[in-house]
Amino acid sequence: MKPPRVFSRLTESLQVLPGIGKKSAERMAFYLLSYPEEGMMIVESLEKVLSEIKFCSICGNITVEDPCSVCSSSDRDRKKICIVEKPMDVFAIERAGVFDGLYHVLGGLLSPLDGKGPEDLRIEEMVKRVKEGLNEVIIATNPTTEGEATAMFIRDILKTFNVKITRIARGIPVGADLDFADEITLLRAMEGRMEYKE
Amino acid sequence: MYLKSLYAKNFRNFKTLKLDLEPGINLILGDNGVGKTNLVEIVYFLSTFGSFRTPNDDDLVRFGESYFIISGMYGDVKVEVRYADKKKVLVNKVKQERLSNAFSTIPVIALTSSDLEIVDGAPVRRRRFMNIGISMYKRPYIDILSLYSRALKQRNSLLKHATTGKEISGIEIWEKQLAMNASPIVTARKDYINRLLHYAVPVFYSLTGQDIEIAYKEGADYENLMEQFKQMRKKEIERGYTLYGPHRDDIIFKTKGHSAKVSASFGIKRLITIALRIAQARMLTQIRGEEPILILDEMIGELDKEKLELLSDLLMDYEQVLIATTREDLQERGDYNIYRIEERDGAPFIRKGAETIHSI
Ligand SMILES: Nc1ncnc2c1ncn2[C@@H]1O[C@H](COP(=O)(O)OP(=O)(O)OP(=O)(O)O)[C@@H](O)[C@H]1O
Ligand SMILES: [Mg+2]
Ligand SMILES: [Zn+2]
Repeated sequence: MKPPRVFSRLTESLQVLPGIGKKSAERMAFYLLSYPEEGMMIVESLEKVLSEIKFCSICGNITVEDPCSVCSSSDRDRKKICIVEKPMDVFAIERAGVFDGLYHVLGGLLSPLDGKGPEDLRIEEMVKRVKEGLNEVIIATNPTTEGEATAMFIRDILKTFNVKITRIARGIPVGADLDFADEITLLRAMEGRMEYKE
Repeated sequence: MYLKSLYAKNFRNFKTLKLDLEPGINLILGDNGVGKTNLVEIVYFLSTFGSFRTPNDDDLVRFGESYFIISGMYGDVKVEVRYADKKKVLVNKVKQERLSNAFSTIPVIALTSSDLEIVDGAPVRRRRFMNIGISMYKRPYIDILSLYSRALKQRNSLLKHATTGKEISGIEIWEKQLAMNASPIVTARKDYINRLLHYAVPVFYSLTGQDIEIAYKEGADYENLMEQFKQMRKKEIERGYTLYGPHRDDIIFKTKGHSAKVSASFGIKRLITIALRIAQARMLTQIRGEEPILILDEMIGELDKEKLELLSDLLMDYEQVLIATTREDLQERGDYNIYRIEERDGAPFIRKGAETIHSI
């Protein structure tokens, strides 16, 4: 006997999520069946998120208001932008309170294995912001292979512009994620940033 | 320091195992297939978080079970590994986010029969020999190695999907990543081989009266790696993967001026392997300032009397040695701690000296 069609549809849709295979999807689906209230809560918050959250048209971070609160703030140094991979990295740096400029969220990293090239990242938008005139671009991608490759790629594009390019220090262990770095580590990484040259 | 006790649950043929170990030479005796290798495999796994017999951790889970737990007390440091789909390592009960940080907390050098492949087998076997050897005293090496392998996978995926004659856009970024990480890897390996040679020569000489040469063979033109990539683009696209770099390096062992892999006798190949492991142990003692635990899984069974004598002398330098063997006569050689594994009703039992039987 096969599982009911509606059930398989749920497990198949769960599998589109990153890191979720068939087995985990089935486990999740059974869990949701056994705890229907929790399932409904997920449905509600998902609906809310999908209808209310958008991407900031300037920095690409997730936000309810566009532009986001960072981009529309008057207390921030608008001549400095910090380039990160994903929205959670912005929140990590904000939580640590170690940076007073603006952000630019790439929305991913270069990764041929996942079919991700420069056209899938918000590179053009970044170049446009740099052209408008900036003092410093801080590249704060993670020190993973993909993070380093993307940092290098960005540097190669930006080096023709008249802007100081820096890279956050390796306070963060190799291969680690900004998202998990504690506040002191982030502070050191930000303060110890160095000019990023070939 | 030495390993004071071992615990295992659902590891290979052990359902539960609790065993106290002693400093000095521990002789693990028993018939074929009772679990001698399984026992030393636990110790090796606690050091390197991998087996010397299989790359697949699932093979280590007791048939019919879904997880294993092993732990050991090394001095007052407790190392524990839990495996169920994924590996979790705890040092003194603290979960290790990065295995590389805990690698070789218990320093172990193992000489096992699969080590013959270091001389005889494919180059990947010799690279693994170096990689593990270096990681025992230079943990960042593991991280650099994984950055390198990741960049390699990325570049290979571009090569695989490329068409000959066409530009592969963005490939240089990955080549730079490869070159950037290749250089510390190759430097560390060459340094390792040089140092190892220094220790291996006298050991091999004392075992055989012969000289040994160990040379590093570079898998690329490291001075001009980026240029090499550019020139060999066509060939690499045809093959669909990267042909140059540390993942193609090799070691060449020579005795009497000729490649041992090609021309040495079986007995000499075995003695090279033994010398390499002893050299590794000596080098590690020097660098870390503590003696590793030595494991000998067979490999000594067929040594003649004189060689066995020499080897026993070499083993005296170590605080703790575990020897797994079917050779009963070894116990007459000295004041060894004897562990005897026997099978009862299909389950292994260990008897320590004249002591009571440890139920397992
Ligand atoms: N995952 C597993 N679950 C249960 N038993 C296992 C598992 N893997 C191996 N075994 C058993 O372990 C035994 C082999 O143990 P081991 O290799 O340690 O023997 P040994 O004492 O070293 O023998 P030899 O003297 O031949 O080297 C075999 O009987 C095998 O069936
Ligand atoms: Mg065995
Ligand atoms: Zn914004």
